[in-house]
Amino acid sequence: MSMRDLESLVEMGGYALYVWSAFAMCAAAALWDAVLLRHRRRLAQEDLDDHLGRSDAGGKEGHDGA
Amino acid sequence: MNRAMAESTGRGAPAASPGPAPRPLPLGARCDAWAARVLPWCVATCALSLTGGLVLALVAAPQDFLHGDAYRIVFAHAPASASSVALYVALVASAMAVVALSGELPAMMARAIAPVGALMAFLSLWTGAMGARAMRGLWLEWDARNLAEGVMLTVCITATALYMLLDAPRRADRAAAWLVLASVPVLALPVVLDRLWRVGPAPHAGVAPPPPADASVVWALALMHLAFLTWSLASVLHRLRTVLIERALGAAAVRDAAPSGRG
Repeated sequence: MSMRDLESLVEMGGYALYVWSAFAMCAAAALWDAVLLRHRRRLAQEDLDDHLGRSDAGGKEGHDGA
Repeated sequence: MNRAMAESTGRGAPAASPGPAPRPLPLGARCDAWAARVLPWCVATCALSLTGGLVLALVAAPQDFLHGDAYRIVFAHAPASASSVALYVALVASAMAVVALSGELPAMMARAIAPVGALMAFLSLWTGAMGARAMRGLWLEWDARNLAEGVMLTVCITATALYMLLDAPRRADRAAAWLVLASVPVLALPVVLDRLWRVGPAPHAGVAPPPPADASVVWALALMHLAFLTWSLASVLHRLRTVLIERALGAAAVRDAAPSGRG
């Protein structure tokens, strides 16, 4: 097992563009996936809560009116 | 969330209603509870294995005797490919269950798996293109593996589009399931043809065998595979929970739209 210095790590033996763009795309995909998923889930949960809240309120109003 | 799902699907027992015996939670709520329990473990395993795998892959692993540092792309490419294949197999299994059993849960699983499969297939093609360019000077070799990845990407994107575009969920589920099942022979064709064409001496026959891989390379590959697989699982489970909420919302909307028999 060999360790390497920072400069050679960044340069990647002249292949930095390809190596780092491959790993950067994976990182971007993970970030995009997490953010999009969290946003979609929050929207769905808010919609469901709103809907159930409206249904409960409507039911109560109906019973009160009757 | 469980309460909302149980109420909206209308199959579970409301907590406040007095009854002789508590009925079990509906399938959706049970599934959601199970996914909520497993998700943190997946995320923790993914974070730990990714950290260890990246350190080993980028810092500790020695240069390749032939390709120098360019071979390090493999540490992203191989796990992405393996994850995309695993997800495609799971998608085919879900599609078979949808067609054969018409179950609700396999359909929701397929909805959760398809976007993650598309993401992994895209990552496999992207990292494959980078690796091919760095090591062989061309962007993509359309060999059997890349063709299969291309087919998987197309199928997963098309299935996701069907889920998004078709209004009737059942129709969308069945259409996507048939699409996935129809893609299996299309995907198998390049692999089978590749096997047939490769009959004869092995590609490395007569060439000196490469030196055995360093232990750090093996561990880096194993950890990166674990990281990508747990990432995929976490993403699928998170999506499944979202799909459950969306289904519950749809069921609640349908129930409210239907004329009440109590008036």
